[in-house]
Amino acid sequence: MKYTNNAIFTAIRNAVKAEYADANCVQMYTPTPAKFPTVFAREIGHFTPQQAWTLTNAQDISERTWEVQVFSNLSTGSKEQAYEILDICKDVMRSLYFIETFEQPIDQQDKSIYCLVARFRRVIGGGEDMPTS
Amino acid sequence: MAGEIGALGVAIYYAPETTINTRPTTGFKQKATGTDLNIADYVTGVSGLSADLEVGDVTPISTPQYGRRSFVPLLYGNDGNIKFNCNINPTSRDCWNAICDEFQALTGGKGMWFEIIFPGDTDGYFFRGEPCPMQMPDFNAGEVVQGEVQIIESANDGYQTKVTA
Repeated sequence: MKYTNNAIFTAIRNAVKAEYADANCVQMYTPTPAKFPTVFAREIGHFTPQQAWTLTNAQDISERTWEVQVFSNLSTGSKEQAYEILDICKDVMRSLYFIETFEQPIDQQDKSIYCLVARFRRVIGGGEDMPTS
Repeated sequence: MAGEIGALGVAIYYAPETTINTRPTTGFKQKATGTDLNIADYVTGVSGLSADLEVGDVTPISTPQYGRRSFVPLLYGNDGNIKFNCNINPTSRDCWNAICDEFQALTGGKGMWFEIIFPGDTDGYFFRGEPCPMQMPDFNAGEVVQGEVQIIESANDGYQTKVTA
């Protein structure tokens, strides 16, 4: 299976759902999630590294950046839950050879919501298939 | 408009000699028969073509202190290693090594000529050389796998009317 956006998102969603069956996993951003916990995962960067440009522009390789946001609104333990869910996502991204390049909590206007964001990056060639577990 | 060009769109051809030490006038192609990619499809850059002009110091012995040295031009030369930087993968490896196999199959001392054509140019740049098989490259996690293949230059006809078939 190729590294398509849907395949990567599905891998994240399936792993999260295996542990948190009621989790809301989405690719489309909404300012306030409709339900909790929510995992918002999407590709935020996709380009061909200049280093890989060939003379005929025939290269099939891209540098991809993914962002995962986790929202929890538990009255107690929202931070712990957010980190647990993010850890699941990190394991998935690690298994897909994405390297985490950023991770931090994001303040929310609604202080009952805890939000974590992480970003992941890797170079993917068109000849590569996603590893099967 | 001064006619500047970018390197994207440069084409690379090759042709085996039919007569030893004679640049072919036909038979130039961009990939070996039965392979998928043209050479320029996996080459990201070329180095080693530029040749420095050697100079000879002909300063008279009578030149006074603080005088200037005098020189004359001698020969153009490089170190003989023309390098194509490539995106390396099984497909590009097979494509390049098929050209090397074609070279190795030549008999009677026949060689191989390469031609590089800039976008929009009516001329091509011709040199004769031995293509060497793709080797294991250095690589780093998080980067594109790339490496160089070498052509050992044995003759050079410079810019001549381009040949594309």
